[in-house]
Amino acid sequence: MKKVLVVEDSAAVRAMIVSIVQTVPGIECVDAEDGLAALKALPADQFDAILTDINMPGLTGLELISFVRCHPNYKQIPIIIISTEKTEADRERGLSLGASDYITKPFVPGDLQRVIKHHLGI
Amino acid sequence: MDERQLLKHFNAEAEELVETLLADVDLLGRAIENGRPSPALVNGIFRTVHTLKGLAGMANVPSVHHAAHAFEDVLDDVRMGRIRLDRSLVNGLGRVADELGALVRAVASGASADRAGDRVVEELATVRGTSVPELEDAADDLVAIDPRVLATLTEYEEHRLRENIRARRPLYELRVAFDLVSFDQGFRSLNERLAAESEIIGTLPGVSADDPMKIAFRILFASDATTEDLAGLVVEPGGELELLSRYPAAEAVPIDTAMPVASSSIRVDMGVFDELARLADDLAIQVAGLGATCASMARHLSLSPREQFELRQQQRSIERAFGQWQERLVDARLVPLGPTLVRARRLVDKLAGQLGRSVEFDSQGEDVRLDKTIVDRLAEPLAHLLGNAVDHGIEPASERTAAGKAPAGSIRVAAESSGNRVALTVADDGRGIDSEAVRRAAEARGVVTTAAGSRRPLDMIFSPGVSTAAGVSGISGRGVGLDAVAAVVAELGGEIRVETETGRGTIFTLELPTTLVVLSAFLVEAGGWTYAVDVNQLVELGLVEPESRDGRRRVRWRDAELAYHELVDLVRAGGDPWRREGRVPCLIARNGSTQAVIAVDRFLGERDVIVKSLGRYAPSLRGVGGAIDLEDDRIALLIDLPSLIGEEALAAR
Repeated sequence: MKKVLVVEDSAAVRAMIVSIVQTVPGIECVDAEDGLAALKALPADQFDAILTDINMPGLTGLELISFVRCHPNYKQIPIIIISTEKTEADRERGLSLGASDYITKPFVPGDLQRVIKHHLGI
Repeated sequence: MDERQLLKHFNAEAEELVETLLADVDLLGRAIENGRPSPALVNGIFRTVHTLKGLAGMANVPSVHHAAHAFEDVLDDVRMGRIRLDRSLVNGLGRVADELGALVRAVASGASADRAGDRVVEELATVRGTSVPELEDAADDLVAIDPRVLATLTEYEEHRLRENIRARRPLYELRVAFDLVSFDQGFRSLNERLAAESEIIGTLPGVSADDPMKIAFRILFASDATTEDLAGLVVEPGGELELLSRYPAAEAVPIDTAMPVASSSIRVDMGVFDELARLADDLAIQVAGLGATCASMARHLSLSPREQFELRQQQRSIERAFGQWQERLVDARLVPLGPTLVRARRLVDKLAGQLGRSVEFDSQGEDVRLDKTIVDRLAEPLAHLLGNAVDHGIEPASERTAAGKAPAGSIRVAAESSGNRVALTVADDGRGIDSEAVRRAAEARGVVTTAAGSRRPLDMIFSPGVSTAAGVSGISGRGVGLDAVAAVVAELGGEIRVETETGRGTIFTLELPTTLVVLSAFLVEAGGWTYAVDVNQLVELGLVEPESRDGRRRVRWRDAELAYHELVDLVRAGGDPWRREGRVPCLIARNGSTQAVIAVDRFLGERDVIVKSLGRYAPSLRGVGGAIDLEDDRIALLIDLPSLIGEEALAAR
């Protein structure tokens, strides 16, 4: 079973993403409402991928990416940015901080599933 | 997740987002009046709309997605400083937010959203058309920031960094490490305290170099607080603070830019105010006793007229200063009605949607200020009145059209202040209340008594029992609970009136005091009147047997001989005390070292009361500090025991 951490501050969008991702057999999601909650979730589980929004209160997606990439235990985890056409510049920053990929909201379920499967190697 | 579930998710969160949006836009309006909207507020509004857009996109609600997208573009320009944030822009944003709210509600109710969506876009075009472009300054390089921190800033955070540098606001980096397992509590609390006075620009988490079981944060922030105050924040979590900015001293410019960042207010817990009020009460007793002490000093120390004059002058200036201080304290509790009116609008919109009524809401008096407690306590009665207006007052559109009225009903909430009173009116142009039906309902409940006989039948709507009667306003089923509304208004020291005209509408008027003082009081009866005493002024209660000696009544109490007074004599209210037989209920009070026993007729017990000012009549009543509303239209006078026995004791010398 592969574990994916979903970080997104909108509860409804988070629920949608989780439900889309979990439709893929063999994937289980843990969700976090912001960057800080993600930091808290990281040591509690072994994650195979992280899906994160950028603009979140408290700790942004960029700060989360930077942390994950500098931490010896987590730096190998693929990170996929959930971005919007508005946050193109921030998405570029995320990629240069070491994020693995991005997907632009709104997306169709198939696109997200394809991206996540690719990074999980399934 | 299927389409229906998606939409359910969407509706729930979108409604919440719209509520947040309206409240924040309202806050922004108030902030711009004071000239200092915080960037965090502007960014918060952007984020709310951004989230709504994302949500609508995911849930496949194109009308909201499209409208929120267009709104987000404008808000992005505002937060990034590309459009100037001024009053007309804020008003425009308010209109857009209202239309967006209407659109979300239309979607939730399954109605066609095309027109509502068009209106959002139209309002946005107006806002765009009248907005003033802001000139962007080149960023300065006066601050040494670690490129690793810089790299994690979002575009917006980088903009805020530039703005702060432009305003020459000191920039700091706070480095702090928390335990890996429990870091979030410590971090969130530090963040909150920091955000109260400073602007947090970015937070970079990392692995602590000295301890792998710790998580380290580097917080980049701008602040006008003193370095000492900031260092104080760091003491508990044990971090270090570094000033990053090195501005040349002469180059400091006032922070009066388009979006000033300094905040001129701090958040204070209401408990602090209550504590201050209690302390002020204690102090008031001391200040009240000062006059008597000075008079006695002047006599006993044989002061010269000049010395006496100076002493009196000084005593008066203390009294004056203290009086002003008390007034300021009361004023500091005042808050504007604006947010209450915003909630009123949202409530009316929501109820109208639920009941399928078309209602136009209008409000006035956003700037009228009332004591925070009054504003809080008002929420429920107001919701009640608005609920009644929408449910029972406003007729369905077909009925209105048939009666020759506009199809959409109108509800108006207006507040107007005069002196230390505020009149809050809730008016609807609905069918009105049938006085005859109220009278019948009242009669059926046995409410009409001889005492109430003189009242207008309509006023009986505020009586318990009548208010829950079915059929009063033509709609059966739900109770209207106006007695509860009247009770809260009376408790706050106010009055409620109603005017109605069949077919034309109803106006409720709530007359309220703007300020109030809550007190723990002990109630007694003397000479047919009810009096209230601050429990803090009471030494003890007792039952005593007075005795006469040397023509003066004394009483033995706990091994001391104390002066004995009748309360009615002390306040010179007239009225005869009951014939004294055997043991008499007494209050034992103190002024400085003087204790006295004050006889009353009856103890009524302790309760929390709200004290109303007697206004200009107060000075003529000795030792009376205010009035308290009791049930059944009776009032109690609040008496100040120390000042009564202080003067009395001196006069007796």
